[in-house]
Amino acid sequence: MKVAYWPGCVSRGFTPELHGSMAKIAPLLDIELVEIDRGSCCGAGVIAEHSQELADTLNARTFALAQQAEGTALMMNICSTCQGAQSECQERLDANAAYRAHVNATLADEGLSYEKGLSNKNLLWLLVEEIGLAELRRRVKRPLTDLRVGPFYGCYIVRPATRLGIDEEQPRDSYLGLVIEALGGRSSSTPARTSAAAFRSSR
Amino acid sequence: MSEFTLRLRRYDPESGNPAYWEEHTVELEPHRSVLEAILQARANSDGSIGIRCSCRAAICGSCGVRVNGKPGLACHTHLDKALRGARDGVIEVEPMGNMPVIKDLIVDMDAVHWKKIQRVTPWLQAKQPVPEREYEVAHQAMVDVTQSMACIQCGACVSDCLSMEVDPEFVGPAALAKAYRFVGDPRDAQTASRLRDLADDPHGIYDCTHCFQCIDACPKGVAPMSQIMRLRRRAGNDFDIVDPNNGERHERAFVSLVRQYGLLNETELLPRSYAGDSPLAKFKPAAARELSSSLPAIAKALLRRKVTPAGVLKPHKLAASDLKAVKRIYDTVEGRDERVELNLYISGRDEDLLP
Repeated sequence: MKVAYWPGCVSRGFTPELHGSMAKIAPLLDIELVEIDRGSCCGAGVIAEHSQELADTLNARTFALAQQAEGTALMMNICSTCQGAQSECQERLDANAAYRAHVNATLADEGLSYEKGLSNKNLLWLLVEEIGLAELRRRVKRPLTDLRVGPFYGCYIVRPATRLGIDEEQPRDSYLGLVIEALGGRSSSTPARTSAAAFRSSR
Repeated sequence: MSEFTLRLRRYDPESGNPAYWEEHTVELEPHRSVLEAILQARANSDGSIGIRCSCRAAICGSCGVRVNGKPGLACHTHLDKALRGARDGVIEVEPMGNMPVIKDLIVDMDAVHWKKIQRVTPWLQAKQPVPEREYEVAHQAMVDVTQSMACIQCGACVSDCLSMEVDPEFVGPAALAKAYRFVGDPRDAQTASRLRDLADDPHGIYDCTHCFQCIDACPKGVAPMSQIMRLRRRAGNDFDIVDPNNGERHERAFVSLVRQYGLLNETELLPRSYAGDSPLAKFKPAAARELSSSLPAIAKALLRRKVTPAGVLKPHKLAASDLKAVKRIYDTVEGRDERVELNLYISGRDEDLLP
């Protein structure tokens, strides 16, 4: 499948292993990445804290660029914070046509426009919902036998549950455990799996 | 009628015995509440079960508990839904967190919740002179504070606040939402001093870590974290309050770095968050102290080639044409006379308004 791929900032900064491994696993999973390298930082909630409209407009620009990527089924990110911050902006943009038009008016200078209803999924969601655990299991070459892995989600990708599309049919807050087990490992339940990491500089 | 089994956390501090779990099976229709199940267990099998409740209709805020680990009102949680969320077919009910237990499911709201509410001067400090008749207030201004007014003081957000778990002195989600109720009220005369007070307090508005727990916990849609973010916006943007907790500095540095690079420049973020939004920040003592305490982490990152000297010296940046577009967005939005904010609690969603 072909996806509009938003790598985010940190995955190309202090944790380059994320962006690097995404490039390595994509062909193994038949994912074709169309990188949105023109998009800007999602704001990580901090730009929204300063100005909602600024965060919404910057992300609407990224969404519009993703919608321009031809032949892509959806937009994919590989960062929990991007998912949460972008979902928050998208929720407002999708909920209100007048507000969307107001934000699009700012993007018009560049000839861009965001249309309601983009599907923006984290790689984790894509693995479970688009590729499927059975297919994932089938493609395992070296299973994670005897490896106990503690899932850690952080905050942005699991809360608020309704905004992130988490419900009984779509238990996205338990996908990490499912993926660990599909890869042959054992998922250990950690009480802190959805706790906050808290950047030291935000304190 | 269906059978439901509850696992209640029992604890009586006066007994000197540790807390223990106890199971009770009740018969009720699935649409009945967890509170009704607890009351039935108390009526039929053990009159000593401690639970506080009053209205049984999700408005008095008395029966805050944790059901299957999640905070909420016992009277507002249906049994069938609670059963679906149960780990092992048994509905687990325990007292709320972050507050001491008085008995079983009853926590000491005075010791934590109400003390924090008092901390924020939870009443209107009216502008003088007080008009003889009513104050005239713009409709829009009062609509703005209705979300924080919807709070029923149940303590569910306090129960699961992750910052309060680490810093029990954190003023916390319920009290800060209450603070916004008065900061947002145009009749209040103390907006600036309220904001200064809560920004300067190391346990105030900048002590929140953005974890969203309170938003999910609240049974009334108050979204306390969103109110905290509004307090920050008012403090930093409208009153130019620069706090000693580096809260405003962090926000300013982040916003300005994304304007400059289009992407987050992490190398610059840390020093600027501590010493102000300038490329020279890293040479100032406040940042140098912080950077030197991070040396082991930096050294490890360099050794593992997670970070390269070239990457630090030449940070990632958008292409010139995209950067120009980003800057234009900044100029347009920051140049408005008034901030544009869409609060879905107040505006609703387009699809809700369709006939």
